[in-house]
Amino acid sequence: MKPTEVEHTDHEGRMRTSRLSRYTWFLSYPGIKKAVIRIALIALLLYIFIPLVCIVLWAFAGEWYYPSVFPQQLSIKWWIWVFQNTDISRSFILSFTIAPIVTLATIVLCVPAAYAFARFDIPGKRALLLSFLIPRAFPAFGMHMVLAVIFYYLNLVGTLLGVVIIHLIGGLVYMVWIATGTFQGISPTLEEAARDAGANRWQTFFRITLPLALPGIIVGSLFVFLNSLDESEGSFLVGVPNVITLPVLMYSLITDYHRPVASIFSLILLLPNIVVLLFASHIMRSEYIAAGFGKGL
Amino acid sequence: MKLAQKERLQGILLILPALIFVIALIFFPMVWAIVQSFLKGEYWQEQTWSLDNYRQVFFDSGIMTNLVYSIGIACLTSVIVFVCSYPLSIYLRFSKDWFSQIVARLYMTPLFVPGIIATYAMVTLMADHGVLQGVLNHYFQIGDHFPRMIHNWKGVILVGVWKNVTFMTIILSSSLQEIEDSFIDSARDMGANWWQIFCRVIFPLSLSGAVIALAFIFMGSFAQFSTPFIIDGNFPRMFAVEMRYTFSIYNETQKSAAMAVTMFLVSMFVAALYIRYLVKGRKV
Repeated sequence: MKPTEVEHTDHEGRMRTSRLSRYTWFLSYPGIKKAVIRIALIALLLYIFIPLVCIVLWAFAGEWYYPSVFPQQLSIKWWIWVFQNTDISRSFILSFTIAPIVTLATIVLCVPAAYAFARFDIPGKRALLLSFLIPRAFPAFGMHMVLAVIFYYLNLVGTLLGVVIIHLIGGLVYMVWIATGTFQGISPTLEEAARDAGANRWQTFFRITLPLALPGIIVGSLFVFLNSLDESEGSFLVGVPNVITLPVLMYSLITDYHRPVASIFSLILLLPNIVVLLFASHIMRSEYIAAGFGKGL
Repeated sequence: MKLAQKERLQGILLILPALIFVIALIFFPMVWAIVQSFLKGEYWQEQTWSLDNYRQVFFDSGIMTNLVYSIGIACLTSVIVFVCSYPLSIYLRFSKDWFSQIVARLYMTPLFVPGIIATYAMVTLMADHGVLQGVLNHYFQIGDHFPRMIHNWKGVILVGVWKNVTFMTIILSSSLQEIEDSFIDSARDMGANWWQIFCRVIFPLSLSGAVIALAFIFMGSFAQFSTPFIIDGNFPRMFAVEMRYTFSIYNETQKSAAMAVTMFLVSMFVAALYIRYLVKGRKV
């Protein structure tokens, strides 16, 4: 059933929408309605994509002064400059060291906890599970500020450990919920069958449950990995001045360099996300994304 | 009986590492920051209990202006996002033609774009002598009347809406997917029109998703840092930016702890709503 097929012809419906329909009478023609909807959607898509097109254009602009609609000169000279810059390569190595550490640590901490939440009878389970949502229920920047203050006294400001902990918090919340939801979605009858056949609890987990839960855990890990690569606010607060990850470097590139430099850098920063979007979009179902916010499980 | 106890113990042991992490790095720091915000004097000196930090926050007209400004930005962003997302999610739920399939794939993009890049992209488009002004000037000769879009609140709203429409639509879609077609068909069979179906079936069932997403967007916009840091003007500025200056530039740690607590207090109401609807929506 399409909304385009539904018209306000019903008696009571006309009563209810009469004031509105004075201005929207033309929408009762299905063709016009369809066109209006499509124009609105195209406008939304343009709003989403035009800014991104702008940075692509800027990344290849050798020269681009105001009145011109397109760059006067296309060039890759800034790309060469970016790839020779040592600050950028240092941040690159740093970011790609931190993200795998955070992802692995999140998996090790969260998958057992999520399995326990889904299958074991634990006193106060509900409250415990909700307590993992507390960081989501308060503004992330407030949490980061609180940690920054405590790190300041522990001399963790400007250290790798400090930044890893900041990234872990976001990842942890996400992973606990998504993995719990995945485990809950697997029917216990499969496990019972395996155990009736003589498998013990651990064999059942590794042979039956884990393979079935793998898609959810992979999606969660991908998100944790990307979140760690993209996290800028907490890292900026805690990492500066020694640990400058890629997104933190972006702050200074925007203010200190020519527009092509920050644009090229943006594209490089987007690359892992584009790869995930292209190759993993079929497993990135919206339920998983919603689950990360404690919704719909 | 003994078996059940053993299982309980195993379950607790599995949860323990994650739980310790949450307690040590989230709950303890929060309590500690609240304590710090009521203290005066550095830890190597003699510390006294005092409301001085809060006095500095609440009796500073600059900080108060920034707080009100941040709440205003958060409200406006949430409302605009809701107005855009609700029709979009309903369209994506009920329309199954090729066009909606394309939209359903493309609208996810902002989720994969870090906020700082989205902000910068918007700056290149909307800046004075930016791409949009160039296009308007070239094709419509109205470039001279181009309004100032960045380095003020408009830029913050533009990026805020850009970032959050996808998120809200995803949350709403996951709620709408739970509404089965047979539900709506039977309502139609009984003579309900589209408007009645919306009011009686769709809206109530999507309410919890909407509240959760709105609460989340409100908090995210209220406490956002990188977008206003790049795109906003100097005054009024967002509360998180003010907080970062207090911490990193002025090094007033106890005052920034007091500001973080203030931020939590403002979000408290919304957070309560968020948790309440989460608990209500769960079947477990």
